[in-house]
Amino acid sequence: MNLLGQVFGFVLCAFVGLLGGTIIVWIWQGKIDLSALISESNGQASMSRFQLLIFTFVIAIGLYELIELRVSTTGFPDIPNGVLTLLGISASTYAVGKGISYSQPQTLTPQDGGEDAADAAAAADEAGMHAAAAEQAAAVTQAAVSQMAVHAAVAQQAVQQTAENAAVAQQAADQATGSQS
Amino acid sequence: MLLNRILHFEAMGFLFALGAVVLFKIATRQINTEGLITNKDGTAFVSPVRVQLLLATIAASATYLGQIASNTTGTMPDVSPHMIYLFGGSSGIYAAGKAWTFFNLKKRGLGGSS
Repeated sequence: MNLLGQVFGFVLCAFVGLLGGTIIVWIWQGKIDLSALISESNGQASMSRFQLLIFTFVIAIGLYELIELRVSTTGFPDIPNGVLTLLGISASTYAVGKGISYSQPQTLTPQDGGEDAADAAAAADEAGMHAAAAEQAAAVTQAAVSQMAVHAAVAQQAVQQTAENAAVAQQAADQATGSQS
Repeated sequence: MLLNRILHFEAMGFLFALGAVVLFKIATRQINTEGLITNKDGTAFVSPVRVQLLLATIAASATYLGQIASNTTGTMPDVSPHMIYLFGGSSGIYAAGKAWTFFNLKKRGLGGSS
């Protein structure tokens, strides 16, 4: 029975060690993403979250050291009221901050949205420039078409004049032929 | 007893490795800390309210860690009332500052609807 307990203990130690090591390695490699560990939903870091992170480490280290000191005794150590009050103040500040932030949901929009808006504005400016260029080209084309219409009218007038001249010449030729006969 | 030693090193290793990784990632900006001590009203100036809360947090944490390090009683050291008053006041100032900032944003219409 004692041997079974020893084996079970070693298996448990190995499991806990592997679990902890895997978590640390995955955090280091970025498979567990901590980039937004202390960030708000708008992408900016939160003082309340940072505070809670520090307190978590402090309390964890304190409890660990204490359990190490109490290795001969049994039971989980009592947590003093002062520590609980400190954590309560921190958590309350976080909750109040959240309440204030969420009373203005527009301020919680991600910072990327600002970049997207800037990109959209730049694209709109560029589209506007293209539209102005296209409008200018259309105006030039319209002017050219008008010029062509004028030229066509002049040409038609010239053709008409030529036809009239030809008719007059034909009439003169007919008269000349009649006088000879 | 051997199991106790193994568990001791595992727990200590995990705790300090986690702390070191988080600290390293904060130092190398892999964990975003942008805007931690700056105003959130769009001006991006350093906010005295946030700085004082950061200092109070570090002071409270360092004081308590010092008490833990010098503790030999086997019980968690209690936090002195002065530290609680200091920290409560600091957090209250922070919350009031945040409320004031958002109230001003709302007043200027940057927050949208009334």
